[in-house]
Amino acid sequence: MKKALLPAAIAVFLPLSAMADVTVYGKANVSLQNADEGGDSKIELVSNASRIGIKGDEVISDGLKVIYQFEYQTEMDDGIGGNGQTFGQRNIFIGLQGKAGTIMGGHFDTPLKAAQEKVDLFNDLEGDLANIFNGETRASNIVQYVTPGSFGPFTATVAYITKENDDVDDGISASLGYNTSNVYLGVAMDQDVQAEGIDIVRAIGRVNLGPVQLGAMFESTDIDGVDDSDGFLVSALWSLSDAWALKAQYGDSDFKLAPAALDAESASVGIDYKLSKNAVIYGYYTAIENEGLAALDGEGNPIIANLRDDDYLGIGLDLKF
Amino acid sequence: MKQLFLVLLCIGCVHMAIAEECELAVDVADSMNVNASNECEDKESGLNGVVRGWFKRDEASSSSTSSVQAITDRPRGSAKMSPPVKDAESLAQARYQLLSVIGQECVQGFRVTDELFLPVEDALTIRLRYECL
Repeated sequence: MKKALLPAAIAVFLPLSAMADVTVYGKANVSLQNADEGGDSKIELVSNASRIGIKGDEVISDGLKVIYQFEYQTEMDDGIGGNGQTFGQRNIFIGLQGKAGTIMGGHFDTPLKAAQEKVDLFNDLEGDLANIFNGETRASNIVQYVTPGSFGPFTATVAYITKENDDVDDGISASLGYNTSNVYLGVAMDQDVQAEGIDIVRAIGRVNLGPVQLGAMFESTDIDGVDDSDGFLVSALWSLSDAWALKAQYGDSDFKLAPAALDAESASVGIDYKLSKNAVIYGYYTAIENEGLAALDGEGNPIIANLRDDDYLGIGLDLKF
Repeated sequence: MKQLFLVLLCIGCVHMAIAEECELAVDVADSMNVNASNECEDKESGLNGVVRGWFKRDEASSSSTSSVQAITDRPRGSAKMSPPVKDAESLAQARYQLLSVIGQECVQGFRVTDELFLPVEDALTIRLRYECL
């Protein structure tokens, strides 16, 4: 079956009782940008993680319900996603939620990735922290436990990722967060998630002081047989009014696994104009630099070269529903 | 600098006192927060209103056509429905269970905006429409 038919097929085969509490949601996010990559400049239209999803719950008994979510990404610029399919799988799960917490399984963001919360102000754009940090993993075959909402602002999450291969260590991802509307503090770790022998630790913080939101993230990557590498990101958002907001973000990391880079740096500034609660026009400028091992000289010493020295200037429209 | 920080802190306190703004469903899904209680309750409008209208119309037509108008004209908010029950004690118990489930979802409290009883053969189902505070 073509993936394009999947959402409709899911809607048809879900029981009527489940559909009664279903929410259809999504976002259309497209930008027109001037991309200066490797000295070549071009104008391109890009779809920034535009998606459509359905989610809901089905009450089983007192205090127990089944929760579910199906979310698919679609490329609004050219209609072609990964593997030539119209829809690509995003966060998809089914789980049981009760007084003791939530247990869920599927294909979704690890606790370490989700722990970034709202700190990445250029999420899904060229300035996305995924371009310079490790650990932005949407894992397959992941089973996760989340503490119940009755714990108030504290949430602990533990996930087990099976590699479905007896010769490869399975992964563990966990996070602990304290979250209120004005303050967020989180720590998270991955062990053997991105690949066997790679461990990642993150600490994240966000504080809202009136119209200003400040965020910071620190990450350390430990690879077996290699020195630890670190990275940090800071961000600031200033809501000038109900409609206008200015934002800036800077990140730097020592080591990026894929695409490989010994040093990665990203700086972004942007402006948002809110047309309504659901629609935003935005503009942005992002510069990304990556350095990596280019070759070895005659004496075997590494020659470091710029792998990436790119600039992006764009304007876009984001509609959420 | 210290004064600027204090001013921002005060504004932050004022903002804290104001009711928290709800989050759109797509943002809640993106956060992977399965305990989120501040999702916007706008499921009766836009695309969700249309989708829900289809299924509720189908649901209602299987029991009685006269209830279709009442269901499509319901006020905004979420709803929970009990399984069919056949006696007064079970009905009271079903109502209590619905309120308990809603209470878990709305940790800061809720108000029941509509209470509807639907006959299903020789039993009754109860549907509570509610809004989280």
